[in-house]
Amino acid sequence: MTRTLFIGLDGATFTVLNELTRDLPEEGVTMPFLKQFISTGTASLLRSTPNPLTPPAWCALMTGTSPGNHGVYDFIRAEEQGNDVYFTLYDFRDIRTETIWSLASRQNRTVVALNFPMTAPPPKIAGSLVPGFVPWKHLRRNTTPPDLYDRLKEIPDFNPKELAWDFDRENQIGELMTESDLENWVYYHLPRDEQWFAIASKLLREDNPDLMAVMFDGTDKLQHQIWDFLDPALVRTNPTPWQQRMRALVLEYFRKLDGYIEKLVALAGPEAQVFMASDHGFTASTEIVRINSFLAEKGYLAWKKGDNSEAEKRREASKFANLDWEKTLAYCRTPSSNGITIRVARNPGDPGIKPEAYEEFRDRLIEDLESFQDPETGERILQGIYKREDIYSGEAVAEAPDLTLVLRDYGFVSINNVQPPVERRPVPVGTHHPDGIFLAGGAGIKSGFKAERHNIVDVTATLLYSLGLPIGPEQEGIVAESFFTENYLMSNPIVMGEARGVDKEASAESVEEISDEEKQKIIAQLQMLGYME
Amino acid sequence: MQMTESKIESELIEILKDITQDWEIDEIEILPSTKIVEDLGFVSIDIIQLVVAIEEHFQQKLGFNELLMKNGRYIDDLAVEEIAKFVERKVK
Repeated sequence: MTRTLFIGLDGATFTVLNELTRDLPEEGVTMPFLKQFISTGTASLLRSTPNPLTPPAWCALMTGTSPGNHGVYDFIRAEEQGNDVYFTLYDFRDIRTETIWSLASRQNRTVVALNFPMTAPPPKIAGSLVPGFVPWKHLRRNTTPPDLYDRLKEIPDFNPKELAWDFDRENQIGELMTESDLENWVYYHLPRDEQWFAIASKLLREDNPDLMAVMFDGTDKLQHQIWDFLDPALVRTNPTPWQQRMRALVLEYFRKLDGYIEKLVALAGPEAQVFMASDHGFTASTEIVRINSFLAEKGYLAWKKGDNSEAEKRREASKFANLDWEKTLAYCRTPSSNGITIRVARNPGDPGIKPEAYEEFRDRLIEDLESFQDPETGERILQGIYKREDIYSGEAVAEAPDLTLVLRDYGFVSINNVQPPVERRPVPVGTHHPDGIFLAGGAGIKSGFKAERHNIVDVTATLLYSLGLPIGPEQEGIVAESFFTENYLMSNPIVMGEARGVDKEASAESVEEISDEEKQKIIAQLQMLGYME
Repeated sequence: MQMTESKIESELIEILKDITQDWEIDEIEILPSTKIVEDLGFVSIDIIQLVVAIEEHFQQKLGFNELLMKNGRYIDDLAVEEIAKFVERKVK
């Protein structure tokens, strides 16, 4: 019997869900099951990681530890080597702390985990795992146990090309989206999440895992590209026929999602506890902030002068921090990082500032960033500039950006060599807000309760508690006690666990490289997701 | 005359067969001389996955940047035997 059902909704936000769970003129209630679930369960805001981004946030939710301990800060990890910077992708081996999938497995709980990022190559667990963010051509190798992929092929209409992350398709759509591109983008995600639902249904029905977890990420992808069709503050009062069609299409996605959730909850049964959470929320980004252009104006970085070769053109087209590393002292590596890296000369002759000059240099950089203002209003562009030690703690702090930025509209920076450093967008786009959602329902959960905001690491502790497992000292979060009825808490006291070493397959060294072409594809993907201009 | 495959070449060929089994490509015999881009149609993300698969197989990270970078630029293609030589040198 499944004890705990967890449904991840990437980027889900009350800004949208509150609208879709109420009766709107001519549209009705788009998500009637979720409406009922919230009214008969418990809900709270969920504060994300300091940079509310998919990899660090989902890793926090999966481990119950913050990025300073789990060590994943971005999609892409960079290694500085003299006068070049090499970029590589984070993967499961880079997560330094134990995931709930293995925490539960080694304490005799069976697990199914579907579509969570950073879970490839997959860890050994007591159950089944299909990772997210893996292209279909590599899905078989990255599922566990080894016979799982052939089981999935038994599903009628199973199509790995629809299911998995499709780099080529996302590249085709490109940076600029026409009306047709936007429409296709929604059509693309309709069958994708249906595929994940079909897998979840099969494994829930046939395996009855103690912990059943599935993540739907169409929510995030749609909100990035078509936020202006979802945000009630932006929805048109006099839409064109195409805009009407788009709104209907977007609602169709959420209506189907509501159906998937309803069926999974029904399959889990009345005794199961059900939790839903997002890795971050969403809001509107209204301006482009070209942070490396600003840093260049202030003399912190120099753009690389190309040799006009084909390789150099590809590199330049990638728009990926293509800098003169000998003359660069501070720069932003990737748009999704929203961070600034200071180059420190570790060895004599290395480029960068001397270690003893670091504090003074960083303070001057912060002052300059504080002076980054809207030329029309004088308002600061950056509402937050945080030193890494002020927002992170743990063994992986040194890998964090030296400074993490929060833009005034919560947008992601651009790193393009374009002027001016700040410019208004023609149409607002979706960007990540630090507050996501945390919902619960089912046996032992309070009805109609609105709880105080929780932290994303609290989800892990709460899921462990729901599974009847102790909360280990490595957990940074707390059990969301207020979600549960007093009777349930009395008959199921929270148990704190003892310290235990990390049991995973990661190694400290991680040095594989990716090519320029790879970088371009990743960047195209990030552009699609709205992390790039 | 075809050279005898080394043990590591054989292991790499098995990994490549496993990776490409669902790719719906024309059947091709993978040999030490097979090039992963030209002959097997690898693209960038496939190379990332191959690196992970090899490192998982040998249970250690191998610093593939040394193989993939030449004179500050990323190389265009690799033969199985080139990868094998690199792995042989790196495996502890």
